[in-house]
Amino acid sequence: MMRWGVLVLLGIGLISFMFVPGDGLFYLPEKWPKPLYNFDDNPVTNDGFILGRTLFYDPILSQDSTVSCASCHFQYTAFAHVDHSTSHGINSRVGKRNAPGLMNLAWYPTFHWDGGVLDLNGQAINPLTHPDELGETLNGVLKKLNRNTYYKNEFKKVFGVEHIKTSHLLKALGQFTVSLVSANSKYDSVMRKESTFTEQEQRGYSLFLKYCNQCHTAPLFTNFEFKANGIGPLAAYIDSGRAVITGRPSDVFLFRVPTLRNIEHSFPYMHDGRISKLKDVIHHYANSSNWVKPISKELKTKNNLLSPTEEKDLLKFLKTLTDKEFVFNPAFRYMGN
Amino acid sequence: MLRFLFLFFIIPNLGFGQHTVKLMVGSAPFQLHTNYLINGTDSIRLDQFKFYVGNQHGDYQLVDASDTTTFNLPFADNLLIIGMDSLANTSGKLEGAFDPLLGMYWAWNTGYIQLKLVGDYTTAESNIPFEYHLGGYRSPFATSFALHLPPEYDQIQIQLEQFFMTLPIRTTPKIMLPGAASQQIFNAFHTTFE
Repeated sequence: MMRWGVLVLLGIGLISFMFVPGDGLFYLPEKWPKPLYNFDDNPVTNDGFILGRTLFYDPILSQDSTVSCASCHFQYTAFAHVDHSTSHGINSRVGKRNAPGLMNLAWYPTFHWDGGVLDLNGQAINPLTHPDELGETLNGVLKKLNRNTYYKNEFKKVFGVEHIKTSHLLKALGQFTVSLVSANSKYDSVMRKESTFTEQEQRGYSLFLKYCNQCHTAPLFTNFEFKANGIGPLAAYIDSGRAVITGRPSDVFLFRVPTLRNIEHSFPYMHDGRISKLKDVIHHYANSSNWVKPISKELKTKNNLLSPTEEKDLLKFLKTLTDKEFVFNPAFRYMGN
Repeated sequence: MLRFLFLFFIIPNLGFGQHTVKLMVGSAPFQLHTNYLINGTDSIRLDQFKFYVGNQHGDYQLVDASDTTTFNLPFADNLLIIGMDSLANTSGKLEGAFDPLLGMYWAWNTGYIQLKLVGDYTTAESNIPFEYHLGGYRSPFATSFALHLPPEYDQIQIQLEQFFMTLPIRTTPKIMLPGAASQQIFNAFHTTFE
């Protein structure tokens, strides 16, 4: 009896050990491409990751200490802004674009819906200083951090510096955000032959490969190119997308292809969050009669491209891209100072 | 220890063959917050005037008219880059001359303002505030240019008088992004180097 008890305890111990989520630090999933992030310039350490996470959740970064990065990037929505078509910042000011989910950023060649930003570290300056977001100045936030004993100590520990400068702040945030790797969805376990799709998921996967994979290319589920998906501009304001950056007329209304990983969680959809349900997004792509030009050539101009059953099958497949371990990983949560 | 560090910073600036930048309007040194007569009737005043100078090794200095110490360049190369090349624009360094705190970083469109001119233009009828944040490294609107300094030169003299007259302040008093307009002013800036 005793012996069985010990065995059971041992078993529980083993199981809990196996399910202990990782420390949250960046890792390279098997068979994935080489990351683009410059880890030589900013190697991720445990202390740096924790410092970045603390900053990510700290409203000290906003002008009136009300809003943090996490205000628009919730973990439970794969770090997108839940239920907000476009995100809002200090004084409830509303921006123009939907806050994208943050994951697998080490592989991104460009950031933002228009691809204007080229490096992850520098990206954070945008939400920090944008009047519709955190509305702070770099000078202001560095002053606050340099007056704060906790941060002074932590930055010294991580970067060996007495005085916190722009690059230290951005590198610390970068160590956290680059570590947000999502590569353990059901899809991934099927690819690793650890589990299998249901028949419906398998049908959806075939449809995905036929119609979606060209732009939403696995394993990152985006080819990072800029495309027009026929949704057209909003009446309220014209956002020319990629053309804002390049100045090329052919880039008007082109936006970056977003990843489909954790797409079930990262509603609402499209660059301005116009569509709130994933099934309606699928319906949009399967029916060209409502499209507005320009339309990228990868899209099949056809009504009823998918039968109602096929739309449901595709939806089921997309839900296999949900990575519960990522969305619920306690290492990505706010832990307090 | 601190005193020695101080020496390290001082020595390169006093070293041989270091370049210095000299800003001129006609025969007088240029000064910020000063009205300069243009075409007999108008006048121009600059409150900010900054631009980048670099070398091929990716070293850069922000020359800032409000701080004459920045007129001494910390490198002595004869091939200089006025503005900033694409490599430096996208290096992601964010330190030293690249620190976004200097107010020359375009966060939403990664890259640097390579030439910043802010001031007032006064005509008989009106006063026109102007603001030029000029730069860009993507083809075809790249702005930076190479400057070959003859070996016997260690001074880069910039004559601003003509340049002030070419600024399109009456038609376009604000340019804040890369593009043809930005490039045009930068090309005019090129002709100021003597």
